[in-house]
Amino acid sequence: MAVRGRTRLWIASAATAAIVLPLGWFWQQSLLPDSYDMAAMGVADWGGGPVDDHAAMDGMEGTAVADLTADLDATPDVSETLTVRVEAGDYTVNGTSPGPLLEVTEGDLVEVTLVNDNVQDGITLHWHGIDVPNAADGVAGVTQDAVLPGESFVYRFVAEQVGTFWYHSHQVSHEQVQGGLLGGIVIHPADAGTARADVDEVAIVHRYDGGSTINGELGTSTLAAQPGDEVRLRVVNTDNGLAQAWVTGAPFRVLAIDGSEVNEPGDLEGTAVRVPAGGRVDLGFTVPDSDLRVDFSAGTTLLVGATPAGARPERPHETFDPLSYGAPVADLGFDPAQPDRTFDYRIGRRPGFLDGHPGNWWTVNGRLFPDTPMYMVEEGDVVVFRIENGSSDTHPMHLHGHHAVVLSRDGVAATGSPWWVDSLEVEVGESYEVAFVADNPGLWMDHCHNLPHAAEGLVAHLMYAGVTSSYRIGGEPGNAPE
Amino acid sequence: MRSTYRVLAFLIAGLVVVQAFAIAWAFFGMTNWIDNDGGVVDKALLECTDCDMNFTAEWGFAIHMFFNGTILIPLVTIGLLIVSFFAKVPKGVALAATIFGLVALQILVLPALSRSAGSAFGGLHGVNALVLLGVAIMAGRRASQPVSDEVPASSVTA
Repeated sequence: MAVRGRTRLWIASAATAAIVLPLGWFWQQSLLPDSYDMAAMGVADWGGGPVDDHAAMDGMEGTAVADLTADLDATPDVSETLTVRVEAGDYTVNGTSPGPLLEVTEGDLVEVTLVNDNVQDGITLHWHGIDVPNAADGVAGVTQDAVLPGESFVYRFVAEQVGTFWYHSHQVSHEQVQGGLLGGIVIHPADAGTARADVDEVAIVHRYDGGSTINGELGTSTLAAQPGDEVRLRVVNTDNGLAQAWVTGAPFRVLAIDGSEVNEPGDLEGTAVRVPAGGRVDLGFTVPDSDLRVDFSAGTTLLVGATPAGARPERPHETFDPLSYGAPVADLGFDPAQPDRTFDYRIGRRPGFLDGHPGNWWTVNGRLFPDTPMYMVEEGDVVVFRIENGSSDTHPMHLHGHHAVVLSRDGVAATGSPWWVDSLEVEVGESYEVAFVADNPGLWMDHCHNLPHAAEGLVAHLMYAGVTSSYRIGGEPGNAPE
Repeated sequence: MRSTYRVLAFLIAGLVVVQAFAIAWAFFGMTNWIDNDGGVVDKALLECTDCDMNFTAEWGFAIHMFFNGTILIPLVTIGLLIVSFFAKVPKGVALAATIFGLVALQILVLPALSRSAGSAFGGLHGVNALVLLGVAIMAGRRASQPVSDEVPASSVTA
């Protein structure tokens, strides 16, 4: 009996150890150091192209991220100061949220001074969709240190792209962006011959604690316009989830997606337009004699030029699909058929530990953060990404510093206007092929813009050979980009 | 150990009942919020993790999908499995391992399938909860039977 009992105890203890020890091992292995160099993390992936000297990872000579700036001597065409305050979790920029709308002209050298009044965690500004020089990208711990209370930071970039963009914090972004640390920025064409719409308006769609808003206004907003006016409505989705908009009362066109003009947009009617988290869609329409309204999935409404009338129309069953909208162009500017590198960005989910926290976390190519890919490129490369969502949630994928053109979705080739994106909604089970030219050296985040997902590890990076990092995650400024 | 096994097994059964209560509470609260207060549920709301609560019954979602569903029940389940190695409960290890499997199915597999394959797998999440409840009660009752049958008579006479 005694022996049997002891044997049994041994087996029971061994079985317990077989459960507890691996858990402890995985827990211990997942712990992140207090501070780390993002460029030294991750799994280097050269995408089938030549392997460079691996400069960044070995700390060898190269161009530092901090030195990848716009011309520091030139006189800026536009100078702005944005001061951020927080009270009880509500963030304001120069006293309001959304912050001031910045309107600049193509070619302007823009200089924005960010001032942190009282945000203890520190702040940054990321210029979402604008392919700024790396040092102005505003990612704490990657392209700068978080700006602590009483400090300031100067962003400089030349506004080369025309279109609708926005700015937001990239420090503890899953809290600060939802809390209102954001605003719009529009870059108008320099060519005076390009006619501007009669009414040109930004509609920032954002859910604050108090509810869903358009430009900070709850419920129903009104847009002043006269019958016959051409309207360009720049919808910006600053939330963490997909927004949808539908126009009732007149045909409309999708003029631009993510700040890139659509080539030959056709008239649309009875279809809902989806705007991914972080994405922008410019809608164009002519104000009719009767009522026109734009309704949003958040329950908000924009009434154009007329008095409120009638019940809220239901969302149309049809959904606008950019894959076949507009007309293709003869020359994309590069040939995506012969890429220098091809990368996989496969999104999944599995149980495990993330910095010691147990949970069901996102994976990239099967691995948890920080063992997510470091996509290595050389300047001038033509790069193809195959994005595949094998997880159980949709993901609005956002690549910093570059615009990619959609080649295909689920194997179906794009046939319409070039569909350039910086924020691409990848639904459950969907796969996309996108391509871009690596023409903006630096260390760039490539992450999910459902910002809590990024905080849960859905983050990878694009890294240029010959670039070295200048900042660390964590450390003294408490850099925490997600 | 045997009584610990019993307590943990019945605790899992109790927590499954809490899950059923929480999710029904939450959905009734949500439809009341939509019907009576003009509430709108959209993707932005679902993804707004830092937003204030819109209605009291939102606690039901928090309990079902966080505190109880993904922390407490998995912890108790692992605890029961470890205790089962030491507690001399007939078929105790097999029952605890079954509970572990059903919990993994419930938390990981069925919700994932409901999103990628079809909502009907979400329906099976409800059915699997009843199976889990039954097995947990069965395990608790096994551990409640008198200990006497554990030592066979033959070994006493030998």
